[in-house]
Amino acid sequence: MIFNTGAALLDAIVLAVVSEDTEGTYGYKITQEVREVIEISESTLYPVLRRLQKDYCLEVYDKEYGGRNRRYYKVTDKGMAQLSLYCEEWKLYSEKISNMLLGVKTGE
Amino acid sequence: MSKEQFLNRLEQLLYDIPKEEKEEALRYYQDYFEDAVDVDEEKLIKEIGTPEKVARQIKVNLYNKASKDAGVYTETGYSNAFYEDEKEEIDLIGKQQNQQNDQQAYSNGTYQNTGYGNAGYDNTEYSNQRTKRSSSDILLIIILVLTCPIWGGVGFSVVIGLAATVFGLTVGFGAAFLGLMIGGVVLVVTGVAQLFVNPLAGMLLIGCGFILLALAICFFSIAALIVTKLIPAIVKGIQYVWRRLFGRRERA
Repeated sequence: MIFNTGAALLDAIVLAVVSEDTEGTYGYKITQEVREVIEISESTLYPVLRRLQKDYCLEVYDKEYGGRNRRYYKVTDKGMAQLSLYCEEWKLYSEKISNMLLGVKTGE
Repeated sequence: MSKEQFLNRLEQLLYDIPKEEKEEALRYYQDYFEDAVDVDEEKLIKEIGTPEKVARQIKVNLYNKASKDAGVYTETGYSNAFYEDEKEEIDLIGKQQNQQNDQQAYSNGTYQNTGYGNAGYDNTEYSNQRTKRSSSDILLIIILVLTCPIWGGVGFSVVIGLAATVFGLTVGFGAAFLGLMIGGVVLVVTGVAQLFVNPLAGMLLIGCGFILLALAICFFSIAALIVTKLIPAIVKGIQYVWRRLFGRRERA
């Protein structure tokens, strides 16, 4: 991993991952899916999830599974709005960078 | 480390955050372990990191909203340029960390440190800067301690006495020089005058005058030596001792 991920980008990725499930998903699964996309440590996500929850972008609920209560995270309306914003921003940002980098003549 | 040990340790480390936050965090990680069915417990713990690292990540995100934007997520965790004072703990954690996290830890050091790195912070550079008492420093300290009855108790008056002596000598020699010079000049002048009256007496006077002048030059030289050499040497000596003891931080 060469390019490190800033806080905003990580928020965007997490929201995107959670939004794939209309009913939401649980912590471990979210972590695994995020780790398919970017390389981060497994302990990184809890603070992010917690913060998104406190910002009302994610909500939590408990559902029974295998005899215990499993905590699920779900994207709120505010979360979806924030995610849309991130997607717009990402499009602009990544386009500019791609144009710049892909346009470089590496002289092969 | 087992799952129970991990969770217990984490609970200990989270003693200083609000109860609700602590419980949420512990709940999360408890669930995490339970949900990771297809992974070996030990391996999982290795990948998550140490309880210390986890605890710190939780606390950082709780307390520092403004600086969160300066934070950056790497494969070894979360780095934030705002945590200058984490340096020492970083070194400790760096040693405790498992292999995966050690990959990038000591390389270029910018955002790639274990747990909490710092922008532009180089781990190896820091450990070089950390002060280690060399043996000559220790010797110096020992000497100072042994002689402390001198410069501590009696020392102060001795120091003043010495200073007065040096001052007195300088003034004394200076005065002697002046006196001798004046005397010498007078004698020579008188002697020259006498040459026309009484040649022998005149030559005697001139001779004595020059002797006095020579002595005057001697005393002047001594006084000059004291001022230009002895005093600066003493001052430098004091500065040297001071710097060796207290001036470490200034050395790059």
